[in-house]
Amino acid sequence: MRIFLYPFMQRAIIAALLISAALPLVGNIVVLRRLSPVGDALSHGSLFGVALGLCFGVNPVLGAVLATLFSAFLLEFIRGAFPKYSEISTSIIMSLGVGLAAVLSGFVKSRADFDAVLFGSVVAVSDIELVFIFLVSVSIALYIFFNLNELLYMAFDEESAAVSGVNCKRVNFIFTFLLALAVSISAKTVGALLISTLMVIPPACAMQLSKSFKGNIILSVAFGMFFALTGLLVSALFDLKPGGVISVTGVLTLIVIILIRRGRKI
Amino acid sequence: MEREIIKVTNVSFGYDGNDVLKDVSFCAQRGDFLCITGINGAGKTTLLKLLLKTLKPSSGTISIDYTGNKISYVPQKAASFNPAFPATAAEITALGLYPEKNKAKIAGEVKAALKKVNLQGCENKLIGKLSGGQQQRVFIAKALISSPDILLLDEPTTGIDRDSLGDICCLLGDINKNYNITVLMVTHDIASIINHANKVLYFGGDKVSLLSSAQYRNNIFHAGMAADFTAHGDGG
Ligand SMILES: Nc1ncnc2c1ncn2[C@@H]1O[C@H](COP(=O)(O)OP(=O)(O)OP(=O)(O)O)[C@@H](O)[C@H]1O
Ligand SMILES: [Mg+2]
Repeated sequence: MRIFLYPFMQRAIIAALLISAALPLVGNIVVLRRLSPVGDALSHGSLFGVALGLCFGVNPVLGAVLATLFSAFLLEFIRGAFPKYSEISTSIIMSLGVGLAAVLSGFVKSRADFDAVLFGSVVAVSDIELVFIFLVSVSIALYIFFNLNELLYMAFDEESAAVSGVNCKRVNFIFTFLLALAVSISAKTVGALLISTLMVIPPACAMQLSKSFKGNIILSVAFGMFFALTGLLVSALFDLKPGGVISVTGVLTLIVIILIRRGRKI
Repeated sequence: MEREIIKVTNVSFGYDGNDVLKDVSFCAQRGDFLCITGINGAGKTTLLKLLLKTLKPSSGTISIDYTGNKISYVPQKAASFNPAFPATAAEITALGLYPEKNKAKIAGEVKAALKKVNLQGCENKLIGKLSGGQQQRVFIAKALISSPDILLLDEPTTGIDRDSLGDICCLLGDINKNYNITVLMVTHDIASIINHANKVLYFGGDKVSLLSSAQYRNNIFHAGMAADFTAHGDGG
């Protein structure tokens, strides 16, 4: 357990806890809007940003933030053209992100940087990145707390929400912005390929158990943090990749919950 | 004297140039229970959206006596949400008070609204776990919670079994009488509701006519099944 005394490990724990709270918060809304694959789509967009950064000597994190924001708004734009077929927009952004990243990856010299973004390197979080993660997570938490009614209304029935005076355009814009930030700050920590894990599995677990919308949000954050802590602990003990362990823990937990619920019903 | 709460004068509207409503005029008095009926695609939902001002007429005027009057709306297929959606009856009902933030006030009003639709005790049940009729009553509670003067309902009884159907129709009749709320309800099942309604707006052929329930019963309901049939044949 000595490892937890090292500053890099403490930074890793704080970063992981913040991200594992922020991703399920946005994930909840994303899942209820039937946009679950959006995490995958945007994180592939962020890969393109990283590739761009590595090619042209721009900070890869900055590259990721810009590319993710661009992907997120392009996704919203395409989604507007196919209401109720959200998955079309996510598929398009996903293929665009992968395509562009693949084209650029040929020019990237160091594979290590690329791998770091694909699978995450939570123990390599710098101070400045930690500050950024903190600011984004707190903004997300505050925004969701103060706009819970709007978000619930829109997730349930966007048309009625608009009739009741919810400013859907504004909520969508800010939410898209925060979603993109959440994905880009997470890419380097949990890994672009694993963002969906923390965005979809905690709300999925919560939906199996929760008794209300508010309960669902609180429970999903609790699950997210539990997966992240377990993942870090286990990966530190057995020298594994944290992102991967977090993901496996999440899926196993979900399966156990589903099995227990089945067992009760029979 | 009764006042006209809704006055629609020579309203026309079309989507992308295809006329849906042509020169429609009618009035509703405070306290009316007005049924709107006619074939699929006649423009009934469109008319409600015009009243809600989510659509604008291409010509004509719609005046709603806005002296403190609020409109609530129960959309067509309100109950076609995902049954796994994790929200309680109380949380959905509370949406009708948007943008109210006062928690104590919301809790009190939610309780009262659910009581009005005979769902007391269902506050904390997940919406997806209620029956179709109960879900529809939650949506009516959500519409009633803001104490509206006008209640618009778009086919609130579709997909509801015979017993619950009677309950919901009686409930709407009571809401109309007891709280003096003007009700406009689109329905294809006019037989179940006609006893609670005093007027019928009939989308027949290519014109829209306002009839009293008695007129409708005598002229259209009994004599006009065949007319409905021809309308089906050339409409679409
Ligand atoms: N968003 C839209 N864009 C284009 N056309 C539309 C749109 N909504 C409705 N229409 C058309 O307008 C006409 C009237 O539609 P509306 O939904 O008002 O009919 P309705 O009387 O409510 O029918 P139903 O009984 O099936 O609910 C239909 O021919 C429909 O095809
Ligand atoms: Mg309709």
